[in-house]
Amino acid sequence: MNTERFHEQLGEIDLKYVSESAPRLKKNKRPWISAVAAVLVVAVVLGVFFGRGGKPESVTPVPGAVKSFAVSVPQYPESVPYPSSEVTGYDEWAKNRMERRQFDGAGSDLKDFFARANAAVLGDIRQNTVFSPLNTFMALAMLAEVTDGNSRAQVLDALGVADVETLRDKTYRVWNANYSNDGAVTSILGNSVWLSDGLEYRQEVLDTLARSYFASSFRGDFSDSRYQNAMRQWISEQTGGLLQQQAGNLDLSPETVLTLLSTLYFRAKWSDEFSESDTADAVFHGESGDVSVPFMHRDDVYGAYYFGERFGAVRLYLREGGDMWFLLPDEGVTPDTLFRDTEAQALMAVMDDWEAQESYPNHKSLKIHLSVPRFDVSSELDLKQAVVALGVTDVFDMARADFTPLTQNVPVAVDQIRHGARVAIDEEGVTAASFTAIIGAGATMPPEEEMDFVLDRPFAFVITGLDGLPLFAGTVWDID
Amino acid sequence: MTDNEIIRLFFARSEKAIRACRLQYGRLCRSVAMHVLGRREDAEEAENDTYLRAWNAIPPEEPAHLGAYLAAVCRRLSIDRLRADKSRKRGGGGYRLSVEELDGTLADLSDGPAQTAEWKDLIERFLDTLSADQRRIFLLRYWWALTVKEVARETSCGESAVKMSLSRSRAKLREFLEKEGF
Repeated sequence: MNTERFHEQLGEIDLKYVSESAPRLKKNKRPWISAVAAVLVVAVVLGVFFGRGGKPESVTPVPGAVKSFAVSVPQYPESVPYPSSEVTGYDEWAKNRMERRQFDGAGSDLKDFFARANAAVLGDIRQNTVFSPLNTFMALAMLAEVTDGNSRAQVLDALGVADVETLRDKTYRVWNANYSNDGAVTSILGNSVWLSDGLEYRQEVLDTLARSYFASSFRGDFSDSRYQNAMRQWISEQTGGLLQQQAGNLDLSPETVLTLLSTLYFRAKWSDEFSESDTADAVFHGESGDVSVPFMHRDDVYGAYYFGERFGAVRLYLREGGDMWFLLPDEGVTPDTLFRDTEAQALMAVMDDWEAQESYPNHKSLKIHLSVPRFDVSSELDLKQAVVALGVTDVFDMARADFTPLTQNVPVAVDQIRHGARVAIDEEGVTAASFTAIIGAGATMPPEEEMDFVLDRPFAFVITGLDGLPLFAGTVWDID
Repeated sequence: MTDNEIIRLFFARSEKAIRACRLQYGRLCRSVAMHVLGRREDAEEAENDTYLRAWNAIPPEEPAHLGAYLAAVCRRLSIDRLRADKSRKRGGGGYRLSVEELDGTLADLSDGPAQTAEWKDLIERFLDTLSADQRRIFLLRYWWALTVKEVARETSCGESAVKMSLSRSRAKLREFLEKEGF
């Protein structure tokens, strides 16, 4: 029998045999494979929330080390440093701050997007999760800018923005409203576009991205480690050098042709700091079990306590802008469900608006004894599913994705959307003070004049920025 | 993108179908071509020919397993290309060795069926006598033309276990063909 003939006839067997036996080819093992097109949108976020700081950060859109790859460079605004005393320099700082307040309110009509994004991302995860709605808005806005047709329409629909011109204006204003690098509050939205050198691109789009999105653009070879290192360096630079681990995890395949990066670096002090001597260990009843951790404590939080059928909430002010809200679900309710709870959503929708907070039906002014654990939580998420849930599908589909505004020589589709974020709250020093007032807060109805608000079981939080938009939302299930 | 969506693009005569095939199954096709031909430039040409062949065949054809379909077309085209290039006789490691390996099993048997349909039926009946694991190892070696080492990695077996399985399957094949009167 002729063996070659046998081999030839073997090739005619039913495809089910072929399909069942197909090898699972390992990626990147075959350098001869020609590049396929894929775009990776990466949203890397950092929120550090330490009660420290004081000096403006040296953050520039294109640091020296990555300059050689830059093809388009935006200009960040000047921030006047926060005065070290109120005697000198205060007026100049305040004037600069007031000028920047002209951009406030630009994102007030994005609330629906934020609520849907929070629900889609945080609504079903039962472990520590940090998500930045604002950062995701920025990353998707850039995606709308480089796409067209139905691809763009779906992104605009998800964001709730009518057209790309409106989007440009909005992102420009939202970016500015959330920019501060004065030493008091660091709040920097960094955006960038990383192109493969095989991609022919349209300079006008990069210019628009620089102008309206403050996005830098770079060009290089994704298979060259120097280019990928430059990208990591850029992330590290934009986030004050505090995100090296996440940046190091970014390992892009040589087949990548386009990466959109968006970072958010936020750092602020409590308006009234916790006293170190009041911090003491207490038990946090985490999802994985009880653990003794340092709780910060304040007895003098005068203000509104907000509540719903299933939760209670307290807000702490940040110095010179922004708030942090703690949402404690009632016993038996988990924090993830709060992002789908209509009352909690209604509260989140007024977090940027003092007057509206007054009209939130369930609130009461009283003295609150607050106990909150120190925590440092981070998570890495793939947002693809959540973005699909928001109605954005075509960009993931090579046959439908339309990236023609940016490039026409290579078909491009979104491969993944990665989102890394970290939020930490802290105060320095721990002393063994005698602090025992740990009483579970029955969240629903507040007492008459004083109450304990003890975050000793899984809870949710929202951090709002300079103009009240949600920078971060998250759930804390366990504390290390 | 699902196979059905790609097929719809073929039916709509959208060239995006080719791009989608390349993205989804390019790696698979190049793997087949490379194992048969052994040279990157030949493999790339065979891959491109595969898409062209698919473009001309779909419609009317509407394959149920698109990846397997493209791989089968690519395998066929690669073998044709190998035969046409007399100067190199036989190509890449996997295929050349897999043909030689079967020589010892089949060489002294009488010729196989005259008709392609009979061949197909014969080989499929033989494959059905193997266990699922044996069949996969057999096909990875003789259909996909992977080397023993690659089959071992693919199936998470040791190389000696793969060799043993192949040896048993070859013996079964011979026995099966003899019973069938060859």
